[in-house]
Amino acid sequence: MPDNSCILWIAAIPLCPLIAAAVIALIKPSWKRAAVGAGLLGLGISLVLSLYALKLNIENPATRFYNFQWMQLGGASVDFGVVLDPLSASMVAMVTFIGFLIFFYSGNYMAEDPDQTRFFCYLSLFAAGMLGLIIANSLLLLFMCWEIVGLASYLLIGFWYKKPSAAAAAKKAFITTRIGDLGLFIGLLWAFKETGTLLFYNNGTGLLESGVTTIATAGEPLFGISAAAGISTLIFIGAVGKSGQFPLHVWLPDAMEGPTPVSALIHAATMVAAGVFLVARTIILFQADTVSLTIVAWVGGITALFAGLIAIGQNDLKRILAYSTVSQLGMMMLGLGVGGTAPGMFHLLSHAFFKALLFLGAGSIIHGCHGEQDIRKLGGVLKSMPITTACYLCGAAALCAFPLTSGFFSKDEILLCAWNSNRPLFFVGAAAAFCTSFYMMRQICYVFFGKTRSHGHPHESPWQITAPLTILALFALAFGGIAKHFEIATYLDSEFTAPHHSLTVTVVSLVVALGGLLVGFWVYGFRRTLSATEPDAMEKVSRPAYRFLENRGYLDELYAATVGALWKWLAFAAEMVDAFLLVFSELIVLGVRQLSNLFAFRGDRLLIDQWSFDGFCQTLRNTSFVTTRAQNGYLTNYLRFIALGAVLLGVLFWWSAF
Amino acid sequence: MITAITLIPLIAALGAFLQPGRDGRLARAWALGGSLASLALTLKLAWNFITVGGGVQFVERHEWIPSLGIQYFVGVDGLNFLLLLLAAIIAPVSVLASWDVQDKKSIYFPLLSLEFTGLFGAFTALNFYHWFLYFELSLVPVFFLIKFFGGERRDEAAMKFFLFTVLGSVAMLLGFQLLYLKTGTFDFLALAGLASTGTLPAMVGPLYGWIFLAVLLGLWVKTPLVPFHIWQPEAYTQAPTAVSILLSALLSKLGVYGFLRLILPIFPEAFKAHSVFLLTITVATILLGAFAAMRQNDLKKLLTYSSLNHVGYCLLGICAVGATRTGLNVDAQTPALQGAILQMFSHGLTVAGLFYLVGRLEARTGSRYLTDFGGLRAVTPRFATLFTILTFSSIGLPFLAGFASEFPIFYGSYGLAPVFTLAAIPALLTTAIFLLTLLQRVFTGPLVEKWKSIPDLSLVEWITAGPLIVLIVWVGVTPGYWLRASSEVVDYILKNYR
Repeated sequence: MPDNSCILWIAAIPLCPLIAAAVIALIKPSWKRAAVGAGLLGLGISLVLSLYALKLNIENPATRFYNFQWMQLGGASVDFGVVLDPLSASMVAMVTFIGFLIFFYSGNYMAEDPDQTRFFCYLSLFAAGMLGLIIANSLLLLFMCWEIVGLASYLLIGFWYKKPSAAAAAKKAFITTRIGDLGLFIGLLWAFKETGTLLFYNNGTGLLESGVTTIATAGEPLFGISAAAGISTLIFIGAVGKSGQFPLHVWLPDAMEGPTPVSALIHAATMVAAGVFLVARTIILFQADTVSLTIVAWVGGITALFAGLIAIGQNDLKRILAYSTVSQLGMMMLGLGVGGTAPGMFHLLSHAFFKALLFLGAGSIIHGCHGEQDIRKLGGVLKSMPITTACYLCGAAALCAFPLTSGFFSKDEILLCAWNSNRPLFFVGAAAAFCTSFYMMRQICYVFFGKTRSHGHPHESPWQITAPLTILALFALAFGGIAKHFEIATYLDSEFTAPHHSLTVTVVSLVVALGGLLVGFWVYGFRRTLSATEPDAMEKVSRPAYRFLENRGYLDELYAATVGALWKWLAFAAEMVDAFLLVFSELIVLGVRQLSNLFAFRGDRLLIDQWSFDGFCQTLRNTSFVTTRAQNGYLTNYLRFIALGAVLLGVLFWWSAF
Repeated sequence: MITAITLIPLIAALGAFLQPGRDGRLARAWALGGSLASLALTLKLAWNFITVGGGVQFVERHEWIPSLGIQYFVGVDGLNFLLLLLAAIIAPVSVLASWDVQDKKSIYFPLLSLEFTGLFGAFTALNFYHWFLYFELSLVPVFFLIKFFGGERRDEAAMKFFLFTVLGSVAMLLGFQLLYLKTGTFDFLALAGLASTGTLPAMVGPLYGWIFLAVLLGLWVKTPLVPFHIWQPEAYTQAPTAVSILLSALLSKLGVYGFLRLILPIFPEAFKAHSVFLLTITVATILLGAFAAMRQNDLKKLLTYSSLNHVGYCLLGICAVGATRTGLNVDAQTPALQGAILQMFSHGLTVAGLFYLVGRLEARTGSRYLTDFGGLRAVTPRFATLFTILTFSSIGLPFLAGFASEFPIFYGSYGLAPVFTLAAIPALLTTAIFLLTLLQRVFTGPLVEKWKSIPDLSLVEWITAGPLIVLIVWVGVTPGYWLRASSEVVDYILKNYR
């Protein structure tokens, strides 16, 4: 048993950005440079620690953890913990590294924003949550950090709060992901109920150790679903929400309302990958009942293809990338579903580099073109922004799985696993890969070639922006090959056995990657798009199909008409019930009022005052009137009474004598 | 000590009422001084409170009317410890929330102080007789405060509030008198003792069920649960801010506390028998509160329904304990009850803060309608930040108080009554929907022109809301610390339910 206490220091990895966030929250909003400095310092320390942790873990890839109690609930102890294993070591290193570059980039990119201080506060809060999520050794702690990154995402999407669309997108993101979160929450409760622990690793008694056996052997299936399948599917629902999988992906493209560095960091490289990470972390639960693993693979495959198609119909530079992210996340899920941790996580890591690069490049383009992000209005960026263009093309090549770039190696791994275990999904994945190459070439043709179709003069960005781009471009090109060379797959998953190499797979993946690019170039490369209002080339092919893609498959409308309408109806029903009760209560109040009026008026005034009290006086007066009449002072009258009395007495005596 | 905590606000009320000059300038100072003195004493009490192995502490017990078995009996145990603390914290908050009340100060502040006495008393009394006195005493000032200082429909609101709660109370009084006739005691602990040995139903005979229902009715109205919650929206909405705070943060807890102090220990058999019915009512309350809140335009009304929903979670935990069947996880009972106790505390903090800030918003703008606002973040960033934190605590964001108490409740109730728990889950989503819509409408979008010069948080507002935020984070980060106080008493209550 390894000595675990020596890794408690990795808890400092999320705490440094957290402290930075707290400091930034307390300083004056005008101290922008201090805020940037604090943010960079906090994440910088985390970066150093993370790289050290990675080095330690590569030397000795054991699972080491440190647990402590959070609360005691009767017999159950709710524990937190941190864990260092290949999964968390590689993720923290990636997140802190890319995060640091993006923080650096934002220092310049957001410099003119009056709220830059707040921006860095939120970014640091996000980094803290994300790093906490990764090193958490407890499903509960992971869930809690998961919610914190959701909050940070909400705050950052709605960062430009004066824009109603940004505020709406933020709300949509939080609520859509919360649907998934509630699934995860129920799964967590269920797992806790079955096993009595939420720790992943705890010397053989953790959820991923003996807990799996407990869950797998748990009887009493609920509605015919075994505990293992139920729990893992619920966990996957959480991942679906966070990682923008179909059908809960609708929030992610809208999230592009946030500043571009946010899109790069949160909605491309790190947070949205948290769902993939979660499935990878708990994959052993999924493997206990392979039904859920099949669900993961298919949801991933469908997402990859669907989002890839929709990306073709988008015109917003960032939205295309957003759908591309959704599609790639689907590929990762597909990888997890067909090949376990290794292929999915490998693609996650390589994707993080090139997608962050693409977003930062897009930010540089938007910055240089004075805020324009409609690809139909861009154009000719190649000439005015050569460095950005070069870097962007590196990222695009990696995304399209151009041979020998990062994406080529990681996507190849996924397709190979799919080929060996699930043929239909292999073709779905290949089709998605074709779409990827096609929409990237479409975007490249629109943005970089031709002449600018908007007003103003584009200019190259300063070195603070191009330097991170260049670094990321190197990683986008080389990371995959190096990682492959050092056998990252077996590092990430020690039980991973590389599937047999298949020539068919290599040929197919080459054909779809290059074929997509060629077809894209054939469709878009030879035409001179002169005005921004010109219809798209694909629109000429099939107008209804293009409209369908342009409108994102009408899913937003569908949801508004179904779930949204149901919820509104329920709210209406609740209000009606309440209104009915309100009328009822008013009637009671009215009744009591009437009753008290009855008492007050009829009872008190009429009965008591008038009838009994006043009436009593009147009776008295009347009686006395009668009685006083007798005593009227006339002697004859008195004598008459005396005589009457005497006669009466006489009669009484006579009567009593018998 | 408890007597002193209870009586100091009464003295303050007298002082505020009888102070020379009668222009009421010193009235608020009296009220604040009184509430702060009580808070200081309560903190001292909390410092000396023994969380584990302490039993009922700070007991004061004197014969009052021996022939009727009535004692003056007060004390603190794990059940009311957090509530006493909450009451002591909320009292100064409510005084500060009325800091700019202008007219009839020499009536307003004495009534407010009198209310504190009623609440402190009701949370600490352990004999039915004077518990009931305090319980009723706490209605009177609220009635007059709504009636004299409320909004447009204050007469109706006060009337409805009074009628409903008094009807409930009368039922409860009758129930306890019957219980006294049969058992000869008014003492909660003695009654609980009788119940735990199983002799109480036999002593009471066929009336047992009726007594249970009578007591239940009183708490049902007070908490409130559907359909008797109907006095609530108007009372909360028409009341002045301070009274809304007291009603939502403390008076509603009086009902939940009643469940824990009266129903669970004294009527275990009847409670078990009716638990499915009660769970149905509870889930209906949770869902109705959440969904009805979606439709509200008046911020105070929205918070009222939200509060209905959140107090419902307390009862979800409590009622799930009654539903325990053999074969289900008995270990889940403790979290359910402990969570319910903590939820009272964290909801009290959160809702008090929210009502306070809504009151301050109304003081600035004269409006509390969602549709009147927009983009306020631009002029009041700090105000918006505090409001956002409180809102997210209400939504149940981890590391804030709401999650820390809802997690044990849901863990417990999921183990005991999974179907009802799952039925309540949509409310968690709905809460997020209407609270985020609130934030969106009020603080984001283009700034509404007429509010462009409203001020950000003042010093008084920082002093009032700041401590609440600190406590919310504290509870959220280290709930284990706050749960410890209730573990022992929960074990004691649960003896009857194993």
